[in-house]
Amino acid sequence: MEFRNLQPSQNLYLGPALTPQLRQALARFCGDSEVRYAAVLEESGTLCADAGDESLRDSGETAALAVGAFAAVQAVAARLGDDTFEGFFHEGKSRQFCLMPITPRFLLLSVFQAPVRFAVVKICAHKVIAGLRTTLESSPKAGFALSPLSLRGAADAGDFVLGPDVLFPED
Amino acid sequence: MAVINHETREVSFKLVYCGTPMGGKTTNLNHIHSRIAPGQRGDLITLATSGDRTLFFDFLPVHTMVINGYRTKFMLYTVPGQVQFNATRQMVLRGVDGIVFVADSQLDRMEENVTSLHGLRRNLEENGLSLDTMPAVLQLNKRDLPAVAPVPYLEYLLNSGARRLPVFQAAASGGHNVFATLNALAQGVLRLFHQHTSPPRPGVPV
Repeated sequence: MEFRNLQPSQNLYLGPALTPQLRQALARFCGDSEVRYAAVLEESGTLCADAGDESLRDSGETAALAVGAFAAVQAVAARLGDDTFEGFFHEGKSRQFCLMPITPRFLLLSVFQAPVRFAVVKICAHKVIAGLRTTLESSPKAGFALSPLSLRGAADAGDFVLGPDVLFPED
Repeated sequence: MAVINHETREVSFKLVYCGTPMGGKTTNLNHIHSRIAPGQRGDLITLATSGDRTLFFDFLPVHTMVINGYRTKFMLYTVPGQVQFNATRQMVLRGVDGIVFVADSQLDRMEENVTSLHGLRRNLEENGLSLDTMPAVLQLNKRDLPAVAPVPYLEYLLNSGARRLPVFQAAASGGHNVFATLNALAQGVLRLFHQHTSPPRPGVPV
């Protein structure tokens, strides 16, 4: 197959220590603000870490939609002349959520229920965002040491299974 | 851009189906969703108009186990084909690892095919990517319809660039070569990931 000599885009490595750190920070945030579920999302639509009510976790559908919604609303704001976009808040009758940027690449999703007030969540979110930003920016960047292919040493790199050709069989 | 999470032991890749308006991108995802083992997929999310045109994107997560015990997830997206949704297409292409370009084989859709492919190249460039250097496949869809262009002509129009993409003749409405397209691209993305993240072996020049 004609896939030789290609260049991958830069990978994102969430090291063994990073995800628990993020989750602890999110769990504290949930406790302090009465947020029911909080998650760190990456701009390509990937869930990086979460805490709180596990029933709100899914296979990635919510993360994909949330990241898309955030980017869309941000683009609308910019087109309408506002370059100071700081996220958005959905005020539902029962369940509410807000999306706020942590860095240009990562977002914080906070889900909460009435009577928890957005103002309280926002204050707590600003605190946790500062911590999450520091954690994410200080995490190690890409390297062979963090690749799944090197976890058991170079000799095991062949464990990467390229066959069979049919990764997804049709039922 | 793969996302590797060592704690959850999961590697995620993003594959995007692009192409001509009404060319069959959503039909590809619908078929995959209906025919893949339920344990290998999540929910199919479709954001469409009442006329079944994709408004924002479709999304289907599918997964397998191929990297050292890591759950390997492929997040499948489509983008809307219509010209006016270019900002949405750029957004969905952020962090993409592999592309399926779905071309409509019908003779009267050649101009839309070429316009769409040029638009894709531009959007990838704006994301710092290129069809010439990333895993991508060309799916010639609707081969089951009567008035279709000959394959060599479609290849001349859509696949005569610096790098020749793997080609699949498909009829997505009946499922023909839908899984072959997905499997080829997934393999291509995994091979690239393997090449660029494997540790150097002793005695082998990097």
